[in-house]
This record gives sequence, C-alpha cells and structure tokens, in this order.
Amino acid sequence: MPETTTPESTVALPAGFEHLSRYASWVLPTERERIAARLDRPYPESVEFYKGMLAEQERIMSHLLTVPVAEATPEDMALMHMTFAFLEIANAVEVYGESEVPDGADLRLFVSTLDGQPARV
Amino acid sequence: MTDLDDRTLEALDAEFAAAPDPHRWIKKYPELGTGPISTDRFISEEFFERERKEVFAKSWLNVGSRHDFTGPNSFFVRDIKLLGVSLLVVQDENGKVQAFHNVCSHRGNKLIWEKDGACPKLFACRFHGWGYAHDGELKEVPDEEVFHFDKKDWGLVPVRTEVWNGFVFVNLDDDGTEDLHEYLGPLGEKLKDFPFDILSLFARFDVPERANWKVALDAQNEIYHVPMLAPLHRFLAGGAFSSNDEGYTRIHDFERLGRHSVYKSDSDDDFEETATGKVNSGVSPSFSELKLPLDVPFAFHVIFPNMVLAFFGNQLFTYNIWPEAVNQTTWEIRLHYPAATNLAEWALNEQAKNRFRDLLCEDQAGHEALQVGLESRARDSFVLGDQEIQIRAFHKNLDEQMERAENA
Repeated sequence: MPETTTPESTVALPAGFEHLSRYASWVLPTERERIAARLDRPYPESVEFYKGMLAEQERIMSHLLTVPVAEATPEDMALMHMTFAFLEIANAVEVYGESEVPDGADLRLFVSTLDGQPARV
Repeated sequence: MTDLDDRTLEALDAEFAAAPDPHRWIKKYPELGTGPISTDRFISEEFFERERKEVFAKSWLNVGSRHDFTGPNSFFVRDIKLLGVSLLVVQDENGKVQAFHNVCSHRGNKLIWEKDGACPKLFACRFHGWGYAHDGELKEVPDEEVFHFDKKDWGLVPVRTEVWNGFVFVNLDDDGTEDLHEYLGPLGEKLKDFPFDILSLFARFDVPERANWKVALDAQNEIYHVPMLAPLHRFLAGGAFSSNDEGYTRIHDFERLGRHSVYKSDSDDDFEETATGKVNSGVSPSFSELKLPLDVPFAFHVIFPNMVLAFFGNQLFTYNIWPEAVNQTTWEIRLHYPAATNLAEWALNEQAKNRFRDLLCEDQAGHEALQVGLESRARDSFVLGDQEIQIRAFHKNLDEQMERAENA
C-alpha cells in the first residue's frame, strides 16, 4: 500500500470549528512556543494564518464568551491556544509588518516566568 | 499693521485658552527647577554606592505581593542582590506576613533554596537539619545535647515587614522608625481603597538590562516619547494617550505625593483600533468597559525608590527596578487584569498582555542605548522639558533622601 503523504496532525476542536484543524500546527499551549513560532516561521505563513483567523475571529470570540473558565473542555483549550497564537501574530502583522519588534529587545527575553500557569487571582 | 490687528479680542482669548501653557507644570512645582541634570548619577560607582547605603538600605522596598503566596501557610524567597540578602517571606495560617533573613542560625547556610511553595511543617536546613517554625522560632536541633546555648535565642532573624493592599514591603534598616503607612503618605491615602483584589496576576517578566536602574525608571516615567519612539508606541499615540493639535502628548495631571509621585493621561476619542481590536469591541460591549475605578485611563505612580504602580485601561502594571551594578539592572514587570470569568475574557487579557509586552520590548533596547550614550561622557548633563517634570521630581526625591540619610 503506497504511503499517503503525512496529513497535518489533527487536533480536536469544538463543534463548528473543525475546519480550523488546518491550523493544527498553530495550537501552541505556551508563550515560549508562540513567540518562537512568531520569530521562526516565515512571515508569509504568519500572514496567511492571521488572515484565515481574522475571518473567523468574531465567531471564535462569540463562542469563547459562552464558556466559563472552569468548564473549558480540551477542545475549547485547543481553540484557545490557536487563538492565542493568532493574537501573538496579530501584533507582527498589524503593527510591524514583520515578525520581530524592529530595533527592539529580543522578544524571547519577555517570556513570562508564569508561562503555562493559570493567572493568580 | 500686523496680522493681530485683523483678529478680534475674543478670537485671541479663545486662542489663548485653547493652547495651554507649555510650562504649566514647572509653574505648579517651581522648586523642581529648570536646569540640566548631571549624567554622573547614572555612571558613577561612587553615586551607586551612596544609593545602596543611603536609599535602598533605608527605604521600604516592595518585594512581592499576595500573588506570590500559594495560599495561607505559604512562602516565597526574594533575593536582593544589591543588599546582599536573601529573604524568606512567610504567610502564616492566619494570613500574617513576616520576612526573615533566609539564613540558618547555626553556621549561616542559605536556609530555603526553593523559590516558593506551601510551608513545610518546619523550615529545615539541609546542612544539619535544624528546623524553624513559621514564626521563625528554632524548634529542632538534631543532637541538641552537644550544644551550649538556649534555642530560644537562635531563631530566624526577622526583617521589618508590612503589607499594603496586598503588596509586601520590607525595610532593612533595623533602626528606622517610619512605618509603611507614614512612608507611603499621600500616595497610600490616594490608593488605599482601590479594589486591587479584583485583579489577577497574568504575566511576569524579569528582564536583564545593561543600564543604570534610573535609566529604565526615567524612560518609563514620561509619555513624551510615545509618538516618536517605535511603531506600537506611535500607534498608541493615535489616541490611547491624549495629545495636542500637533500630535505631542500632554499629561493630564501631575502631583508630588511626599517622596512619591503620579502623572496621568487621558485618551482621545478618535483612537482607531487595529482590525483584531475592532472585532473584539464588536463581539461584546462589556469588552470595552473600564472595570477599574479610574478617572482617566492612564495613571503612573512612582513609589520611591524603585517601584512603579500604574494603570492602563483594565491593566495594572507594576515595575520593580532592581539595581545590581551601576550599569546592570533587572527590570521586573508584572501585568494584572481583572480575573477572566469566561474564555473570551481570558483571550482579551492575553491580547492586552501581548500588546503591552511588545511596547516594553520597544522600550528595552532604548534603555541599553541610553546607558552607552551616558557612559561616553559626551556631555556631563542632560535637559528635561515640562512634559518630563515627573523625572525632575524623582531625582529631587532621590537627592532629598540621600541628604536625610547623610544628616541622620
């Protein structure tokens, strides 16, 4: 049986958002990974992701508005991590027109020491 | 005949009223002066030593907040390299907070090596197992009978500790008599009822900088740079801060508050958000609400000597600017937002954090470049304008503290 080309890793997303699994490689749970993706992935790829997500942003945020933090499912969190990556890339595309902060410090210095932890109330 | 003759008196009055005095703030605080300021303060080892002994060793220093505790009966460790101390800050089962020198009384070992956590039954030294209760009392000495002392005299050494609105302060001057309430003075009064408890700590950055601590503080203590410095700053200058007709920022208010200060800025109505910002505003009206009781959307308080407590919309940001050497500093940044109740609010907090973080990233490179320029000694002084009066006030407070310490 000939090997099929490796499909993009699938990710489980909430109902109605399954078509966003084409962005599975942008489901990045930590700030460290998201900043790395912003800096390391080719800028045109970031722009394509940004445009695709911008078109969905209203639907995504309307859905997220209905989910209390304590009731988030793994599918909701996958959508969240994809949205976080979108909001990371948004600065690059909307403000800078490039991946880095021009003439700025290395973004990697600004990874939160609380990365990956929930907010402390 | 001049142009003036063509205009009515009313028109002239209106023109004058519309253009506020460009030297408004120095007229309110003439004691701050208008002369240049010496660059020596940022590059001199001698001045740095004086700051260590006369300012940091004698002031109330913010070393953490309630967010650093994991609950009642928990601790965190704060190392203050500048003063050569490590502090064990303990919150007991009743919520009382006390800092101790993190030093075992036996032979001086660093007692607790973890950063934070729940309090163990006894704080135990890994060298010989000596154990201390949460109130610092020495409770356990293995092989106690071979010693020649009374345990009661060899507990952990406490450090003056007080808490204000959840912020933990210590004072390393054992002979000092001014308590935190007196120290915070009018600033403490102004903010005493602020609902800090609705804010959650969302992110913390510990950013190393090759710059004098005051370079970082001064650079943040004004908004003159906002329309010029960098893309995100310029974007925010389009309305997140108020500006005059020429596009230069204008602070809304400035006050000296004892040895502390505050400056504020309003926002402009015509601020144009980014595409993602507009979508978010459209999804829910509550997203645009100001949940914090602020009279204007930006207020920047400097708590002498090295703390900033500031608000920007629904964000509380604090800075603790830790000097380590005359040209080396750790800029500790904490971002707080009202705790998210649903995932959309969480995503908005994430976006606000990203945006503010990029803003600081734009700033940080500038700090290091400033230090290089100062160290070149190209000039021995620098100049400040009326929109930088906050910086004058800070340096005056610094000089006054050093004078107080020398005359004590």
